[in-house]
Amino acid sequence: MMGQTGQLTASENELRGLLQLCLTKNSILILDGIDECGDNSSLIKSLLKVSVERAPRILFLSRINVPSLKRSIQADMQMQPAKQLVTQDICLFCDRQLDELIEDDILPDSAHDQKDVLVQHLVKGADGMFLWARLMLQYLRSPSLTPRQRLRTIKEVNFPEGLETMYDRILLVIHEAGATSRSLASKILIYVTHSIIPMTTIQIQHAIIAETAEGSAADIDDITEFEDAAIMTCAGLLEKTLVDPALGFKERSNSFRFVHLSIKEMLTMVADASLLSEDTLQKAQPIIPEFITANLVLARCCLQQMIFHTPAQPLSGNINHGVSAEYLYSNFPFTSYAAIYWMGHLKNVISKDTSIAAAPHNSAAKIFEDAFSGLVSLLSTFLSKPELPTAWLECLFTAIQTLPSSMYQQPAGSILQGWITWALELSSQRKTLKIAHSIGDTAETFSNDLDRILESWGDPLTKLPETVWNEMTGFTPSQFFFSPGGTRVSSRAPERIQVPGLSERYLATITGTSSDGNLQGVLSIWSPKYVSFQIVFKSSYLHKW
Amino acid sequence: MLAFKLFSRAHIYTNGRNFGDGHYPKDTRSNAVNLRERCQGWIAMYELWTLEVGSKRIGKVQVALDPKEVVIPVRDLLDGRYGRKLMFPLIISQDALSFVVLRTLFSLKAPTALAEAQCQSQILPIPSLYDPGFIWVRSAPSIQNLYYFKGVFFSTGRFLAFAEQHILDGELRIMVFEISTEPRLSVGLTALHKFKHGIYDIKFMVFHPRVTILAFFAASMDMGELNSGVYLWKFQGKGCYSSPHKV
Repeated sequence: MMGQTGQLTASENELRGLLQLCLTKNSILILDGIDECGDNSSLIKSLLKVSVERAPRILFLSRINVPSLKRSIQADMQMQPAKQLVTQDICLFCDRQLDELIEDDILPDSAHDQKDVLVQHLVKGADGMFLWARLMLQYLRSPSLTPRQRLRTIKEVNFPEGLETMYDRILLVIHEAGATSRSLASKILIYVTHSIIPMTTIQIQHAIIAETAEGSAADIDDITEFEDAAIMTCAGLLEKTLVDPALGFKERSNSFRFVHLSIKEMLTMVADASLLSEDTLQKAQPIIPEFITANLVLARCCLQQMIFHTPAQPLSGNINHGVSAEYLYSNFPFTSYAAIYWMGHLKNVISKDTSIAAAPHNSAAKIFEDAFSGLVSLLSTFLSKPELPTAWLECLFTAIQTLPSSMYQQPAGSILQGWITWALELSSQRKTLKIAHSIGDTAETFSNDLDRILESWGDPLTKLPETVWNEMTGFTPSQFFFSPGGTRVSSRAPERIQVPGLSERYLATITGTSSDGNLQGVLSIWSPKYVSFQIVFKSSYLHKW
Repeated sequence: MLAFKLFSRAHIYTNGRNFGDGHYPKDTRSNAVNLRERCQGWIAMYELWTLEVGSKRIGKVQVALDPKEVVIPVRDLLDGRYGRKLMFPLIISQDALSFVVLRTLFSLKAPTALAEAQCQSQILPIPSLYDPGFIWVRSAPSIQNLYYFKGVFFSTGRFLAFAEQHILDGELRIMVFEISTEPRLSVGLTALHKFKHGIYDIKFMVFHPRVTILAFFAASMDMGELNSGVYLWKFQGKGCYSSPHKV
């Protein structure tokens, strides 16, 4: 089916067709988390179509806030678990979890005698909401709480709380956990919430190191320890998961995800202060900034990686040899992300911020200003050393080798230029934001050169990214890209024939190189002067004749 | 001013109607244009370069193209068979020492310290060579003049495959010529196959890199039915060949 068109991603119709082939009336499908599906309406419609033709038994599990599910399923086929039954389960879950907490000395031994009372407090707080209970018990494991504080926290729960109070509590514990821990949690939550594609835990670990210019590989801890520490630091908002194999990672890599989609919704709502309580906002903003600031932070971090943590030389150490995407990921995990997406984060900033006035004025302004000025400074450095953009292009074209094309957008000079224009305009309105006007001209020239290079060299670089160090600047000179001087270009344009009455320019020309590579012939056709013409040469046509 | 536009090495776009307007001596017959003058003075230049470090040009030859050859694509252009495209076959061999312009083979003797590059040429010995003449009748139905040809060299330069088709008789001929350059250039017809029915088109034609097998993709339209396929054609030497085998 797919082979005929060469497409790599199956269409919805094709997937439905495949499902129809596989299903029988005895098949049972159980789909959980319908409410977390991006396009649940379309999913339900497709599956119901399949069910009409094949009559399998399908169970949809979801929160109740999915209108299309309510509409599509007959009322007598809908079942809401009785609160009492869920409460029994929550009771059992809390009971066992409390046993573990006591056994791990997270709760004092005295909690053992009060366990039934503690369970009742937790069940009241959950009010039939399993997620609340799970988050609470994860929260209780936070290392910043003492055993007595944990006990007191449980006892203070006397009424159903709802998730917002739970999130407030979690944000507070992150907020009060100390500067180092808060900073770590903030970084991790920014990466998980705002990265363009999910980053692996190793990439996140390296990104955190990259944020400090002096960080080095020696700072890298064991990845399992880092993953555990990250989950603890984020007070149970995150859990480990495997990265989608479609992202091109050959080995099974871990990633973080929120234990529930509502957490991401809550964190991204920080962008719109009106959607959160003032109290929550005050706790959340220093931890997870709004969308524009978060993207500035990510773009800055990516550039920091490219400048300070990626070799400013051929990845293989030799201009004639490249490396594989796997090698790049193994040796410079975060570079694999940074090289592809730093411009994407710049684009996010300018695409979201239609009004300059939307930039934060409140307590988050400091984070915004730091990210802004840091990014401006890094861009200046990046554009001042030809080895840096050159290394970036090699990394970019190496990293995308295993990535489906739908997962990235080719960089473009217009993105950088657009961002610089945005930054200059913003700095003219805010005295605290400083940017040299000369960077505008530099970025414009760089953007033009970049577009020219991508247009001429996009395909060759996709096949041989290391060419960027060798031939590329021989043919497409640019002050922003490294030129080894090893490539000399001499024209093979046909020499003008000095015959009276003959056109000043050839009418057609082709080039042929001998199989042994020693000789090259240039054949040109010249017509009398009365013929005027325009050459449109496409080398890809050469092999056709 | 005539407007020509070259598209790839084999196509030249032009405004066919304007090509003949007022620029060509008209024949005494009405609407007839004599293209002879405008097909004269066309030149092919071949430059040979070495590719080692410090590359230099080691040979350059200029040859006048035969007006009888030039007139073929010009007529096709005026007839508008390819719209504004001028079919102008140019081929270079894989040793870079031979090339074909239209239906003429040119062979270069590599230059030495003592002698400059020398060029010999021979028109391909195509049986019943199509010669449309210089008189072109502007208002006549154009199909009578439609002629189509393309070629490809064998890896060693010893063979040249050439396909030609004259729409009027609906016959497509595929030929293989054997080329010898010593003591002087000679070209002999080694193999010939004719497709007789329907309107054929050769989409591609390629030699096996080592053995004398030609592969080509032919598509034909017979009684409104499209018939296409890849053919393999094996030949060993002059007159020693089988029919193309459809795979």
